[in-house]
Amino acid sequence: MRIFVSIFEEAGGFISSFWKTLIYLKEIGKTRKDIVFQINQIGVNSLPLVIFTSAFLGMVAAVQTAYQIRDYVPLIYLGAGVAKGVMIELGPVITGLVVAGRVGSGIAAEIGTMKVTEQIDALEVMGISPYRFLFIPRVVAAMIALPMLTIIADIVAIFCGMIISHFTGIANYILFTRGARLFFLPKDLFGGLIKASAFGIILSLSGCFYGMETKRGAQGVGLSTTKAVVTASLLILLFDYLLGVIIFG
Amino acid sequence: MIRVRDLEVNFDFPVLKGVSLDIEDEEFLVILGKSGSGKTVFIKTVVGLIRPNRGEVSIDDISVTNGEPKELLKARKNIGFVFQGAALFDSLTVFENIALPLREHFSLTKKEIKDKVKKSLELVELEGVEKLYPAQLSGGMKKRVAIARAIAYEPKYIFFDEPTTGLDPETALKITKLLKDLWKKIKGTFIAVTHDFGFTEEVATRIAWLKGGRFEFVGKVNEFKKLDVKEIQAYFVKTF
Ligand SMILES: Nc1ncnc2c1ncn2[C@@H]1O[C@H](COP(=O)(O)OP(=O)(O)OP(=O)(O)O)[C@@H](O)[C@H]1O
Ligand SMILES: [Mg+2]
Repeated sequence: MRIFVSIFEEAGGFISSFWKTLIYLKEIGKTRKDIVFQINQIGVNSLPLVIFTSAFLGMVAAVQTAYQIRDYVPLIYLGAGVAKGVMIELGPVITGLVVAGRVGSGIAAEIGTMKVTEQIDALEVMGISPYRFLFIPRVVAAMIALPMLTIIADIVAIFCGMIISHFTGIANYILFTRGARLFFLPKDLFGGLIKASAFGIILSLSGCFYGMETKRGAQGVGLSTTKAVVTASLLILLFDYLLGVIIFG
Repeated sequence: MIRVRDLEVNFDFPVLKGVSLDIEDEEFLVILGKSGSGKTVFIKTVVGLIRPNRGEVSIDDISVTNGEPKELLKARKNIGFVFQGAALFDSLTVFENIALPLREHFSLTKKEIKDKVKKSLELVELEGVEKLYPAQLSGGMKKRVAIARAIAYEPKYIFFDEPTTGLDPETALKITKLLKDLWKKIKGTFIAVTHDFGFTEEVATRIAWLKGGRFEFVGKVNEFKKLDVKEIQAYFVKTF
């Protein structure tokens, strides 16, 4: 019983901070410079990690798909399968999860530290809303950065999938690309990017929310970062399903 | 004038048990109390950072405790607050730290902001640090920057949470002198919270002694000294 109450309380707090962030969206003009800075923090600085992860993702996807379909399905479908799988599902989700680990925890630690060192109080006493000053730039930046990272992840993954199937002799690159292009639907790509945008909101908001919830004491900030990443990851998977049903269902 | 009535704040236990106090314009009020007695909680509740369980606070007849965000914002333009650990924004330079509240609430030109930042840094006797980040400053310098940030927009009431704690005796003395001069110069209402009796004797026009969740004594410094209470004598023994 206790645990349900606290889950609902937490969900309520989370939703209410999303709502407050929306309200302050009207003052977005004041935070333009911060948004650019955050896109750099969240997007550009996550690039190496995202490229590395998606390279292996693409290779695994190609080899696994080939293994599963080899005896039943013509290999022209390999490129199509890998490209679709990456664009619709693997690209956005893996990018979301990886960035949640890196950025969600970073945001929670940063804001949590501000909380315990009274910097949040200082903002409030100056009449500056932390939602406008801290939440908006991060959430908006992540919302923009995640689709961009996902496009790069998609390209890297599909390319590496192609390379690996070519050089391991599964299917040469001409067959692979022909398959990928033949069955390409713009909806697959854009649906995936919309999901990525939603994941950006989820992971940044989660970092902001648990950062603000940080309690004093030695455990405080560490606990917040853990909660931020766990919650973001679960919500990303949940929304991956929900949005998948809405977009592709 | 700041009016505090029957203020009650409970965390896991009662911290403030119904305190009332009037803070007069242009006085230098020092709130004394042991560590953990609720001094920080008291001033944070007065400025609306902590919601009281009961009671009322009004600043120049604007209610802080009734929960109207617009009202609170109006009251806060008259409030400066220097936090115990300075609470400078780590990601901003000294200049940006001081300029932030100026940019937020007043329509000033770039030059006016620059001048105001420069002036408030002069008042705290710090120069040439505008481009540094908080991490590059010493503890005493941070306190000064925090004071500069709080006075830059010329609020009527300035709160100081333990301005001399955590500094070496020499720096503490400098800050004490600085606050005394500053108070005379800008004719504001200063409210400081401390357990440093040397500081109190030097600056206070009035003392409020917080003990057991209530104000045990409110009055002049010499009256406070005359009180025949062991704890107060302990204060003297420690500090003189
Ligand atoms: N946000 C909070 N949540 C729970 N308890 C708190 C909170 N803030 C303060 N307290 C408790 O209230 C009591 C008073 O704290 P406060 O910080 O006001 O003390 P203080 O008089 O300022 O002490 P110090 O001189 O050490 O700063 C302490 O027991 C503290 O643990
Ligand atoms: Mg304190």
